[in-house]
Amino acid sequence: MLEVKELTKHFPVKGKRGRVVHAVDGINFKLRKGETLGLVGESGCGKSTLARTIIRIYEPTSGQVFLKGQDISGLSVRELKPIRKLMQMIFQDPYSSLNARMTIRDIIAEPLRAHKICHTKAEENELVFEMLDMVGLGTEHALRYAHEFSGGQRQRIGIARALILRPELVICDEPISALDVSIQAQIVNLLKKFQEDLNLTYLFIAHDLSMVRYVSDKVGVMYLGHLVELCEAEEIYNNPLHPYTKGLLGSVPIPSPRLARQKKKSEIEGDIPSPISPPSGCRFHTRCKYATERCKAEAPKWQEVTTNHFVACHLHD
Amino acid sequence: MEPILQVKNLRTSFMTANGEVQAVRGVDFDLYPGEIVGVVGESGSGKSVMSMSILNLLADNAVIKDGDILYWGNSLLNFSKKEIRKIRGKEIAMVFQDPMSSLNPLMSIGKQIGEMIAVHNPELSKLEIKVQVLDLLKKVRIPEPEKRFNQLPNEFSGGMRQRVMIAIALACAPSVLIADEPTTALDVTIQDQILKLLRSLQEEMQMSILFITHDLGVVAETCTRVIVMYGGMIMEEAAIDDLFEQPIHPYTKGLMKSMPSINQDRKGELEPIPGSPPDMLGDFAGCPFAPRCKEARRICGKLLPPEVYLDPTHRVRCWLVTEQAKQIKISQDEVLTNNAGRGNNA
Repeated sequence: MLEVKELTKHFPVKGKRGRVVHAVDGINFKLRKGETLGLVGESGCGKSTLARTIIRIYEPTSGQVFLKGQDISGLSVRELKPIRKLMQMIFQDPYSSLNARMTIRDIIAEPLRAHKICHTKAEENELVFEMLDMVGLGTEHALRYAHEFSGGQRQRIGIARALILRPELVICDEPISALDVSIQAQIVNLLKKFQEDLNLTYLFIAHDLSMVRYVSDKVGVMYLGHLVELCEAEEIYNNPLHPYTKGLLGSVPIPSPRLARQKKKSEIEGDIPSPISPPSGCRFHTRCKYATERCKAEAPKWQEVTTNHFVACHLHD
Repeated sequence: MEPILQVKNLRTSFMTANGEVQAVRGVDFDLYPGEIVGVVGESGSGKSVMSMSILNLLADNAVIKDGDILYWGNSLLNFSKKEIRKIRGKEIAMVFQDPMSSLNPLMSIGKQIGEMIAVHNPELSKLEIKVQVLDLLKKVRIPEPEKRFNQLPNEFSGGMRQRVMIAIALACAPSVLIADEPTTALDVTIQDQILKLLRSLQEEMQMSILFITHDLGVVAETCTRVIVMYGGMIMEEAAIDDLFEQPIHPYTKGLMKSMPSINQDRKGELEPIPGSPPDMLGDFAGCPFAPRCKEARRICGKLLPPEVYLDPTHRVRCWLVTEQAKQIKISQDEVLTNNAGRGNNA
């Protein structure tokens, strides 16, 4: 369904010629139809940039993106238009991603209008109402405005807008981070239901590993623009290999006081370094307990250690 | 032991164009010296308004309608603005959620921390203050304090700014720290660091911490006692192990079930709580959680349940418990007075 090859995105730094932010650097992965890839990492690790580069909100600096076997990284805006129908995005902030001056019906119908899918208003309404029903809202909500809804309901509207074109690939950029816990589970279950019903492929971005477990088939861990580990979802929880993945898992609070007291934490010290001048060698060496001279000098290779378990770390050469 | 801070039947409302928003609807609890009490609840549950009421940091349209807040037995509500300012920061300090917007972008970090010390200790010289500030920076484990002293907030990362905020809060060695979602804006790795720092500082300085958060995981790792709030009321309060091992209130149970856990099997599906939080405008007919509660009975939508103490440290506000425990058979009038008064059945 989706294949990403050596995808790289650098942003120029204002006022400093030649200096760039290494937001995404040489990312490779494949995603089959109907699968979910969960992508995790701290803020600033490039996960959102990666998503936006795949969907061509940003132009890639280099590398390729194949959607159903077709290279879409070099297509012009016009050539891209029919392809955009196949890939849609759900955003993090349900407060700023909906136009405050449009009714819910217009917000959900906008993709239909942009792609000139409906010929009559009645046809359009029918699709919009069907979509509203699917996300658990009623037709009585159609003529209201976004501010009249709670965060969870707004996220449902965002999902309705993303799915009305019946895309095949949906990129969910932290779709639940801004919501309350009780509502998060509602949205996650809704997304899972749509995946089954519509056979969707998800790229699910999150900043911590706990919720990702419930939605993903595969999990990728990003650090400073690099993918450092990628494998089956259960494998990453049972057998994490990269020290960063271990630290990330160790820092998720455990909702059980007894287990929390028992747990021996592998923690991560310090802050994420600047992506403008990322550390040499392995980018994680500045915070890694196991770092050696080799880690400082030489970047580890991205390799398959066991079947379908990829990692970039000298400890696992 | 005498409680250091007591909140008694606190009711705080906001007067808005649409009517009276009753954000806090009768909250009672005690905070004892040296303990960390977690207050959990979703947005709109009244947990932040409750904490802001303690230090009288409310917006102009807010009114404390009823109740009292006692600090070592003295009512903070009777204090004048000048008197409360002496308490704020010196006796009871606060750390807020967003370290990005709580610092002055044009003032060096050292000055901002020093300001707090200078306000409460006008007799100190500049040099004495600087010595104390450097000491504080070390205490919150900011590396290279001498260099960091003169830097501006934009040169600090999010986690480092939250450390600065903690340093400001601790500048006068307060006996109570109110931490309002201090790690919500941070990455999990940084959150972990900050929680550890707070725990070790609490031990070192023997403070009491009121820890407000929406994250039960954070509570499990940090607190000794937990208060669960919903719709401006306390639904359940228990010692930390009791709450996680034997949650009683359907809302507490619902929160636990809807929470993902990394050491659970994935097959355990998430069970969300249906519906959305209540509108805080006007009065509730019964239990605020009744419309979303799977176990709700007819009475739940009609009458507010009284608080029931299952044991001296575990209290719940739910009709199911009242019936199960068969502790009280009450007539309607009694229920109503019980709601206005509260917890006399301890």
